[in-house]
Amino acid sequence: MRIASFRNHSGEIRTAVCRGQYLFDLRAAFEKLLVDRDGCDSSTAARIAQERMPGSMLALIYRGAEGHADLSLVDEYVRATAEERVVPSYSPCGGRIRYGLDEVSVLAPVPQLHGCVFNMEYNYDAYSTVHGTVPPDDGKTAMFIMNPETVIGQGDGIRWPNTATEVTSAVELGVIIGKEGKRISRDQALSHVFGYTVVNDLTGMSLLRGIGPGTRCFPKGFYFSRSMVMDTFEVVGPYIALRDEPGDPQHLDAELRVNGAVVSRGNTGDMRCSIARLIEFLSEDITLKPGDLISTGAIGTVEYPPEAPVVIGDVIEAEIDQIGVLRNQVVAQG
Amino acid sequence: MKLASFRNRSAETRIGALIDDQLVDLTAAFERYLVDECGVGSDRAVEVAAVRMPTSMLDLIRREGEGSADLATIYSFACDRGPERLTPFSPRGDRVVYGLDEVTLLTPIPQVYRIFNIGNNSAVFSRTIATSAPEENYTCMFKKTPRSVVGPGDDILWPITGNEVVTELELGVVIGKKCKGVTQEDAMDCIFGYVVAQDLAVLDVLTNANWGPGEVGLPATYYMDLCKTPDTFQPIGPFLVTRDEVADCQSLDMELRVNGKCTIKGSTSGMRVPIRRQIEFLSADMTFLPGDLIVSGAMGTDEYPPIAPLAIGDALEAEIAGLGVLKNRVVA
Repeated sequence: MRIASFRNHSGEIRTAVCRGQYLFDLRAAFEKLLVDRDGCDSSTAARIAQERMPGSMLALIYRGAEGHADLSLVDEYVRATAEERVVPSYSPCGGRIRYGLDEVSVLAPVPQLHGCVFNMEYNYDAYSTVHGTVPPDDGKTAMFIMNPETVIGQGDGIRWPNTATEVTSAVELGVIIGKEGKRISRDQALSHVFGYTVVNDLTGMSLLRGIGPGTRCFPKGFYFSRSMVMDTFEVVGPYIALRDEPGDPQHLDAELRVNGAVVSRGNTGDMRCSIARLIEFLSEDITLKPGDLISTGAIGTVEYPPEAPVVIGDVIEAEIDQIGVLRNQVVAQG
Repeated sequence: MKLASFRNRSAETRIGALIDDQLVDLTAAFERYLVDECGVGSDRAVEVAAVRMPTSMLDLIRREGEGSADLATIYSFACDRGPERLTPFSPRGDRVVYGLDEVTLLTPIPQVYRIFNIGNNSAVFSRTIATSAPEENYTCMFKKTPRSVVGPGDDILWPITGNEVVTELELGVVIGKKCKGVTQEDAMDCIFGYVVAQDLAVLDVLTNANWGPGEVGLPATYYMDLCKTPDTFQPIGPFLVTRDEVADCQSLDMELRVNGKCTIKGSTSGMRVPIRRQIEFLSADMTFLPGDLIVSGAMGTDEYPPIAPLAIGDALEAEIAGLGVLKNRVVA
């Protein structure tokens, strides 16, 4: 099941399940289900749906297993009605259920995020081969913390920065945490995952270049965070594929296209540290909480390297199999 | 003004101001003010105070100029009357004045979630750890998670990722308005206030890393955020002191005592890149939001170096002139 956050025609932020070219408003569909299947009266259905299917993705993630069970109910209902071609248009209380993807704005999947965004870097061997950097130690990888406000969603403009002359883009698998934990073992790690999404991770690369040799290799590293937390430099979405949806998350093809040309290509099977290991590694001394995003590193191969330069006007498409295509344009400074 | 967040006896998080060594509950006092001075009805006063003097410090700072104006009003109301002569209970039924020993002080902005730490920002720091400094007018910035922030009296938890834990004493700067592309000339207007901050790290996460052969080898810095951000590794507090009370933020003396013994001594005059330039540098491509915290870099001297090693059981007292003393303990 793939779900999304979107803005409806009244300007409210809502959650939806995605099927084909349509989004189904989760709360409105749940209301309809409660009336049709359980025989609730419409005001009871509205009350229950409001409680159990919050418009906020973060609140839904916090509902844990119960939220997941309710999601499955609605997904089942939407699929059944779609198959029978009896998709209802409105909930009993008048909420619209079905929207064409072209009718509404899909937002970053967790617009309410105020927790942590962890960007893992250098997590594919091709990165060091292509860029000539020293890889992190075995079983470890680089990590940088972003601001939640760095995150933008499908279709939002990526702003060219004022202080960098060179910007790169990378496609990465995003992991959204569903359950709080600390010192999570590798074996338990995937049970803490809510779902997967696509991340387009941008970096003001020129800040990291040509800064002199220094001693003990520091100087370039001084500006890692500075080069990444620029406004709009973390594009996330368009959908969250729930944990069990994409099959094996370590076997997904990914591709980055700039103006239609493939620039990066790879498979999540090539991660140096697996998703389970990343969760173990991060949670040793950091509590992970529901809604946290872990972006698992730039995907690529030697032939189609991770990270590609972009310039103003470029249309970037970051795609991961079974999750979706994230499409954004680089726009001038503002 | 010295502001604080605290937990009252009903376990609610509230905001207060220190007046004559007593803590005045600002939301409760604002209700009082509306009733006593403005003739507003009790119910309405409770509603209005909840919006104009919220119990969340972050919400108050987010009100920017209007919040500051309300803060000034209520502060002078409470000072003029004196805590002793304020009516003891607010219309909502909350106590208005507390002794400091009657409440639990929390980290001043419990809701803070965007934290920027400045690294390697004094000549003595570069000498102490034998690294080169960032280029002139540039500065190193790394980030911590909100879960690293704790307050006065809170325990600092010993990590499992390493054995060598160190702390640094730094001036914390709280941003007061949404801003981007700020010039050095305007930077000080963007500041809401100051806090005492400690910046802990698990040093061997860096030193045990493969440092790589040369210019292209960056491995230790790969783990910069990781070694700095274990839960509880950024104690902040006890007070958030408003900008107007600090005449010159670049000449504040500071001292860290570990088990009563002075280990770090320094002054904010030692900053390589001053606070106004830090704000300019960071805001060039990133929007600051009200409540953002900048921890402005470790200070020290050759005799009292800017980095102090810690062990389980250590009692820490971090003090910056005019801002207060922040006490914490390191536990297993």
